[in-house]
Amino acid sequence: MRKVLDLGELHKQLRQTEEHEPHFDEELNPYLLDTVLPQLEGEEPIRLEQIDFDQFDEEDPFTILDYYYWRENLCNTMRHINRRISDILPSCVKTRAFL
Amino acid sequence: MDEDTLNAAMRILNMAKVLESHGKLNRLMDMLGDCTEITWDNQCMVERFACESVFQNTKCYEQCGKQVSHHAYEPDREVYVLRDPLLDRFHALCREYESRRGITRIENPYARELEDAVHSAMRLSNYNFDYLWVDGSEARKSPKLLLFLFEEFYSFDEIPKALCDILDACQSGIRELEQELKKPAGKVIALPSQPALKQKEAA
Repeated sequence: MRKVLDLGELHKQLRQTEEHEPHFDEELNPYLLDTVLPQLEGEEPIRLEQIDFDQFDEEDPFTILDYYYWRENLCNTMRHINRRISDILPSCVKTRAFL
Repeated sequence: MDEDTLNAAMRILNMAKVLESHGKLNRLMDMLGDCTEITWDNQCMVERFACESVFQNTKCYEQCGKQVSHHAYEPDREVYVLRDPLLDRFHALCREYESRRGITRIENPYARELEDAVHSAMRLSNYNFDYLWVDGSEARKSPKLLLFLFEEFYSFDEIPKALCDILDACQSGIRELEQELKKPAGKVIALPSQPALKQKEAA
């Protein structure tokens, strides 16, 4: 099937669309998010003795996991859209110019 | 950081927090020794030790499946035998309550409540396991929980929470039973007095 993307129309539609960032509904524990996660991401060794257990609840680690999967899904959607747009071959369209 | 690393770290933190809020974290730390680093490699070990840290007396056995017919074998399994002084105390109080009330274990509402709590706690997300709750009512059997984990069982990280929930239910049952047993025994209703037998002289 032939796909046509009118960049002018896309530009117009995007300008008209209200900007709203996707928002994760649940509250993320700041201790896990700002203290533990950066250490894990930086591959710094972190031990159970270093953890302050008063700073989070039992379910908070699972909320962080849900957040990670939510973010991954979002990234995958963006990648998918990007790939579909990139796959469309450019074509020239005659336009009438009034000089 | 990949998905597996994060997943392992968060599951370790969840188990450790569950144990910490039930005062069992030190036991887990003793069992882990130097292997307390939060890594994907350590997840399996933390899970196993966390399962053994909740009940005071936990034994784990590997059982090969028995031959049931010429070609068929039962599946191999890991068996956890879990005992705890709280279960013994609960059982002793139940016996006293039953003897005072003159009821059986089946009629005992506290025993039924704990049984329900066990069934509710053992609803894990994996199907490849079984369990047996021995309430101690049979002669010479102390109360215990038996867990049978088969080859495809993977929800080890859910077991510590389930076991803590069972002990919580047991503790609350003990409190209620102790209060119940403190109450003075109900009034004994006297039987209607029998009219005195009149002796008749033989004619």
